[in-house]
Amino acid sequence: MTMRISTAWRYEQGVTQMMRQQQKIAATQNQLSTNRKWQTAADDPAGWSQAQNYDRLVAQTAQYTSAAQTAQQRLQLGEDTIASGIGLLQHVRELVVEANTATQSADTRKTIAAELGSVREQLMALANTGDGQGRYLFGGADDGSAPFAWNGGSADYRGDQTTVSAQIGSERTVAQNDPGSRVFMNLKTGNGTFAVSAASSNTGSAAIGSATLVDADAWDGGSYTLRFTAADQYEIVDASNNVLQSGSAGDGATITFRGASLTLSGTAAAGDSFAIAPSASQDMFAMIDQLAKLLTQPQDSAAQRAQVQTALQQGLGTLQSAEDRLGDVRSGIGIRLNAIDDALDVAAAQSEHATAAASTLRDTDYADAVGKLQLQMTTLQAAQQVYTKVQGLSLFDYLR
Amino acid sequence: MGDILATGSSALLAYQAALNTTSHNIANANTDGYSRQRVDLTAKLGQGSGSGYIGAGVDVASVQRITDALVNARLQTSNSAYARIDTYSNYAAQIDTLMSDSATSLSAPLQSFFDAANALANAPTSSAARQSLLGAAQTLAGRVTTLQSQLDGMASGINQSLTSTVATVNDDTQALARLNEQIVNAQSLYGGQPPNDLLDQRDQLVQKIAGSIGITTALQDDGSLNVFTASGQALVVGKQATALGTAADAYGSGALDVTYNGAPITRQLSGGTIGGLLDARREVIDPARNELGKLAAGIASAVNAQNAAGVDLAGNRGGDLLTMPSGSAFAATTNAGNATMSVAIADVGALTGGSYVVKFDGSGWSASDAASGAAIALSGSGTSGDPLTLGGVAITLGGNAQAGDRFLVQPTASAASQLKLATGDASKIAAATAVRASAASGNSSGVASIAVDDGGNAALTDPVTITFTDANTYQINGSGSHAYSAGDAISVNGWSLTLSGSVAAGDSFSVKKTGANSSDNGNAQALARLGDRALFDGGLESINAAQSSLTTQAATRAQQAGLALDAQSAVKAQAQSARESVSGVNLDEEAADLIRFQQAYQAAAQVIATANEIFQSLLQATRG
Repeated sequence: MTMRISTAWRYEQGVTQMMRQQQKIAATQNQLSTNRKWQTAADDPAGWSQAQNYDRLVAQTAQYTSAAQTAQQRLQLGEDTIASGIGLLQHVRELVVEANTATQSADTRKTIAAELGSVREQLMALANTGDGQGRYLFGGADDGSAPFAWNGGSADYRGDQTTVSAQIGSERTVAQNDPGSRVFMNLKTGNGTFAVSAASSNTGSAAIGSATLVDADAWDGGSYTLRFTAADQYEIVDASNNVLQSGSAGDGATITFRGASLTLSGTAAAGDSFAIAPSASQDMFAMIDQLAKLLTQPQDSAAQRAQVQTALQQGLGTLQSAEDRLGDVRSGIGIRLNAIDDALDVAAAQSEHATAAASTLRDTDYADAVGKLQLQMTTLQAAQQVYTKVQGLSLFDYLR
Repeated sequence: MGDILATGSSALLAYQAALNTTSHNIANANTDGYSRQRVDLTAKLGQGSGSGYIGAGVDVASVQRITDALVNARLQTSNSAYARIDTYSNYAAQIDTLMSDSATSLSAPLQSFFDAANALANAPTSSAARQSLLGAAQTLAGRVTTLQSQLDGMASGINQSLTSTVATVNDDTQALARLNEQIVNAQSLYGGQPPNDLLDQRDQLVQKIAGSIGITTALQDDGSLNVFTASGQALVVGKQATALGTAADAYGSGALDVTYNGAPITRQLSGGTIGGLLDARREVIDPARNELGKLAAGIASAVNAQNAAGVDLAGNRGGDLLTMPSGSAFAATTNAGNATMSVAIADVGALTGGSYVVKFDGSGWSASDAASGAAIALSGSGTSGDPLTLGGVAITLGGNAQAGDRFLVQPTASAASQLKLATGDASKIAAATAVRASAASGNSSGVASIAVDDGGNAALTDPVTITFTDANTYQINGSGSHAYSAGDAISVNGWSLTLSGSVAAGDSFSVKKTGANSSDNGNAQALARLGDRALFDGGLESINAAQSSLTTQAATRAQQAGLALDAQSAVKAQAQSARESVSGVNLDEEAADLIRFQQAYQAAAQVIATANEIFQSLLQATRG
């Protein structure tokens, strides 16, 4: 028995088929015109959520990139400023060396001292450099006002010790500032371990030239006094006046005790003494100020000159620490800038990959879609032709 | 002779009837629900004689419509199923579109919020960056409440559709009861001959009711048809129809119940448009509202907690940036006591997305899941100091309850509508870490970093001094003795401090609240990364993941509904095609019948003519 196809049903089915094809064509057309494979998430929930995760990754790398760029600008400003600071310290060294030549008079030294004063002010200006956004580079996180101020003898630091970090990768942060406390403050005087000072009552021409630590393990951090019982006889006593060692030392001699090595120049007078004490903390500005003050001291007698020489050598040691400090800060910034460059590369690559992955998931495959559209149009055409042909068939046409 | 004439005229009459019926078929070829009809012819028994029975012509026994009860029953089932899934998938697709469309979904505003937090981390004191974060929070909250209002709109749309569909069902069952009466009368009028066209109308009505609600039918001996809901409530018995109704649910929570004789039968109904509406409400809209509410509560709680872990531009501990949504409780309309409940969301990680029924038995409270009825553990007494706690909410009671009083507690269903900015002051955003540490001058070690681990610690910003008595021991505020080894974090009052360099005796560090106008960005960074922090489901799901799953859950439901719709529309088409193949009119067939019956009619006429000729020849023979 053959199946009966009712006439009304045949019409309805023909129309339904055409509508279904038109719906498919509309969907493909939408894919082509929006370059989106999916109209809503229901077209592929798993793919949609994957693509959304990639979108999020792209957004996140954009965040890392913007944080890295912000940090880069700040650090570059910081690097430039520190580089200028290093130049200033070099100038200080040149001025001190120049002032310490025999041809200088008290007047010329005074001029140099004045110049040192202006160098100190320049360094202070550098330390108070702004970041161009109304904040200060070296104030830590408390950087809303100038972090450094000169109080006449030393600098006051008004910032805090906070390092502000930048998130430049998912597990990667970089410090985008160096608190001024770590850059310009807390220099160790002398050679960094101990400092030597001549007693103001010294009458001989002996000065301590080089004072170095040769054996760190032997140094116990105590305070000692080197004193001369005769012009060439010395003894070293500790804080409780116990004699540690004694011997003879003249011009050019080197005295070594507890890992410290002191080189003598000139001749001491009996009763002369030098204090050897653990390094104190000093800021960079006070250091320059002290050097300047030293230059204005009278150098009329040998004893006076020896006083100045001992102090000057110690000051130059502190200056060295300062130069090292700025050098360290600068290379620290350099390392972070490199890390940022690397993070920027990583972020760019990640972003590119994630964008490509999201695009593969979500974007229309044009070759595929165009092929599909062709096929769907052909099918619709066929359905339309079949409809018109089939609907024309009726037995009634022959009943005449 | 007289026999031939009688036979011929019986055939003429029969074929007239056949031609009439064929014409009726042709005329109704496009009538919905029409079943083709056929004339049942039977041969008339002739008069017996010694030479046998000679036939006496043809009789019209009956005019029957061609139907198949089984095929009709299949069509009825598939109509119900199709209408259900059609309605359901319509709502599922609406929500899918809402959650997918970048103009309405949460993914873009949520990302913008985190981007703005990141921008703030880049410029923590910039008021522009602060304003834009506040703006992004506003947009996010606005988008959340908009989504909620769209979902609420759908829920009230469902209420309206329920009301109108129930009204349609009532009209239809009434019409069917009237048809029953007419059919019984018509059938008894002509000795049990079927009133075909009335039967078609009734079948058509049954299919229409089945599209509105799942039903079963039972044909009675007198020809009437009884109609019941799938769960057994009689809608039509004989010529009597019983109307369905709609009423607010037992708690007045805003959802309509379908009632039968005043009693709610919502849970028993399935199939048809009504079944689809109820399923959409239960499986699509309610879960979406709960998920959205959970997300809103999670965002508010996480953002506020993070803000509290920092200090704002004025140097104060961060306050709330967003208002924390609360849950809702509906007292049963039958409650005898005057107890009220206020529902606070206490633990976002414990929110389930479900609703609860909380009952008072005269001495204590108990809770059960509103959907499944399963008992849920409940603790606390309901005072503000010791609230009733279940599923992440804390319930404080007011008034007095009486035994048997019940409440419907919905922790998250309307939470999303409450999300909004708690402050319009951008300086209240806490971008800076709450505490800062500084090393004393002369220290041999320094501060490497300080971070807040517990923003909720009350003593977080209390000043603390850490002093090392030797390289491996430190004191807190001058007392105690704590072991330290290089690289250890020193954790006090919810913060942890790490040191750089080697520690020496006498090193000391002071920790205190970060001051005003700080460029510290630690808290803004944490805010920017909040999206990936696990919060929900006991710490398994992050805000980003919850947002994704909001979309994918809606999408999966829509996808499944779409597939089911395709399948069901194929099933329905098959059932229709089967019905059409049995009952439908094929015009070619009718044309052939037309020819056949016309020829038969002509042949019968010829029989009359032949009888006439025979009679004439007989007359001539006698005349001649």
